[in-house]
Amino acid sequence: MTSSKPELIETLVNATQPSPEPTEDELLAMAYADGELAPEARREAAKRISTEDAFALRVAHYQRLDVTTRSAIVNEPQDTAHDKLAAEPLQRAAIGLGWMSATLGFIAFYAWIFYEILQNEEMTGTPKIFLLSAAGGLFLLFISVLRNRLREIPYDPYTDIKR
Amino acid sequence: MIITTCDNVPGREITSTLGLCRGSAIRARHLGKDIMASLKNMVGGEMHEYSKLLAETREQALDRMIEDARGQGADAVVAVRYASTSISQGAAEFLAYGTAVKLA
Repeated sequence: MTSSKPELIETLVNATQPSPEPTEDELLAMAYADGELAPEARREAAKRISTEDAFALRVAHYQRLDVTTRSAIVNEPQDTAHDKLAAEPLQRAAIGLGWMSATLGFIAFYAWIFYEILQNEEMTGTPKIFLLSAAGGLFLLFISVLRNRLREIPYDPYTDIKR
Repeated sequence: MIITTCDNVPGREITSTLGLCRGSAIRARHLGKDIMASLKNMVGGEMHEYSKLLAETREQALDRMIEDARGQGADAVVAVRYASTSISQGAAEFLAYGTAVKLA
């Protein structure tokens, strides 16, 4: 799995575009997602999933279809009201502005606290180093978790489920 | 693969019991959804964010149970049950389990 991001996106787009006649790979991916392969063929397909991005994305696409179809629901009246409200410009603007304001406020507030601690002359250098180390470490850990999640999203078939 | 909460599959004969099959999953929504859900807590109504979270986790646990049964060579899973626990705040854990069987 060594594809770059643009290649991966192109592969995903290609993998999710059904061709007029299903190719052998598409049929294999469908059979794998539906659990219709014999154990030996399933092991072979599993090997391909771990080595071929295009095939893995194809399987993920059919798994997503399977899960979405299985959990398809009929809209309830409250769903319609919810969707209508979510599409209203005023509601979208309120949510967008709310998020932007809250996010900027939190970041600025914590940056200010951080700055104040670093500027505190009563505190010696060692605790400041500890603080910088802890904050930097947490930031790096957050970035690694975020990268992990972003990497797995194209293969996660459960994100389209409504309820 | 037949999945049923019954102890048998009507119209089919169980020839052998392969054993327990199970699948579990723990999922969380992102912080933004947690914040919106906590705000919704003040006004009431359905928490769509968490309804979706439970549904995602339920389906993933079910799929993992089916995969386990498939690995055992089962034709069906009977007596399927769900169990849920709370491991961390804002995350849902589901355990799906049943008995993997071969059918005639």
